[in-house]
Amino acid sequence: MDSASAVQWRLLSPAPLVFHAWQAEELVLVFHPLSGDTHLLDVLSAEVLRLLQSSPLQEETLRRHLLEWAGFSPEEFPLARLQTILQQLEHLDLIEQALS
Amino acid sequence: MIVSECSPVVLRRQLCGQGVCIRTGPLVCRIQSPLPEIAQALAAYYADFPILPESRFADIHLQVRPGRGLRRWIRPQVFCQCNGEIPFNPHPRCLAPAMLEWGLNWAVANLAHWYLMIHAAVLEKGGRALILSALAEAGKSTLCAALALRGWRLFSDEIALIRLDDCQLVPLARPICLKGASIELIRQQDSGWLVGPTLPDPVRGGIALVRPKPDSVAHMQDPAPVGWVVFPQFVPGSAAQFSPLPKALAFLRLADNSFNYSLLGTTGFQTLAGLLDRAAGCYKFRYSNLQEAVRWLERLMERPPESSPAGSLTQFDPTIEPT
Repeated sequence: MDSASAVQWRLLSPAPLVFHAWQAEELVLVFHPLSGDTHLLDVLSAEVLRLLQSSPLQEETLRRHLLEWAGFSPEEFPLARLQTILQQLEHLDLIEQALS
Repeated sequence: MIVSECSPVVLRRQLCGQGVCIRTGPLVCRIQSPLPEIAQALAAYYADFPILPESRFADIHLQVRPGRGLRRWIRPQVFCQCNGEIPFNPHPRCLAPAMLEWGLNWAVANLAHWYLMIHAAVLEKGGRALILSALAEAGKSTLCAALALRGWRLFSDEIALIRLDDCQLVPLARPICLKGASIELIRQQDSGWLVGPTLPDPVRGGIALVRPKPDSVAHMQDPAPVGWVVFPQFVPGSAAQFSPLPKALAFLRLADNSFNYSLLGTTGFQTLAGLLDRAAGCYKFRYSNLQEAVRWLERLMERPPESSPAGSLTQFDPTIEPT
């Protein structure tokens, strides 16, 4: 495991996020109770939030969960793609890097 | 007693004194005004509404008063006061009936936070409600009036009230406010003399109020589950066209058009999601011809709910011309 994939991420706020999605739609609504913001996310980004809601996770652990959840091969879901998702969620003030 | 059973003299005296308490859906409004125009407006547009005892608790206290100082006589004005606040600038006195409606709308939107409130017209047919949500000038009230004149039960032309516990739509059944060119368009279809006189308003091209049908008023305490959510847009020259809209995107549009989504926090999110869970489908709807639009919407509502389970896109095929 390289040092980049050892980076740990966590939700920015401890308040539980609220998720909602509809059958046959590849979009997920996420409500942040503390900010009052509603976010429209793709299913992968929403799943990242759902995983981080349980506990902070390292990038490699997150990636492993997502590969299993989505049925991707490692080539289909490189670490760089996960890192893009994490950066976008960080930009939305939903997650942050955790101190190791 | 309903308003039409009250003599004009008594109605006027009550308006000048303790006020007239009328029920509109779940809310009781106490209206006070020394203006004869308000008494006439109540008699014309609220004829079928029940008058409650003067001592009754009222949710909304609305006063429509003549302008102050010289504005009582020179280019006379009116202003309204709702629950102690003056929400709008004074308007020309000829717009007093419209001021009554604007004031009541403002009061509802600022008071009834035990509902999720969305800027939308709502009508019911066959036991299911149609939500028409749009920004100003999209033709929402015009469509609402056209459907109401064809026997749909009117809930509101401005505010959708959604119960927080079961996501049912709750009626207000108040008059519809038409503006500009839509007035004559609707008047042509009005065989029941429900459309009132056009009030001169150079800014909006005139205003006319449409009295709700007695059946809508009689059932104004009967909620209905949502059927369809439609976002109409009047596009000159456009053929009527439905485009399916994912519920997640419809959610964001409705949240944008809500008066109190942010205020309600998680409850607002869950209520709006629950509403769309129960909706048979969501559409964007472009139209230019009112008759054609009404035919399409009537056909949409005739679809049985079994054919379009909540949580999935409807099977309604918008490419088939309505009969």
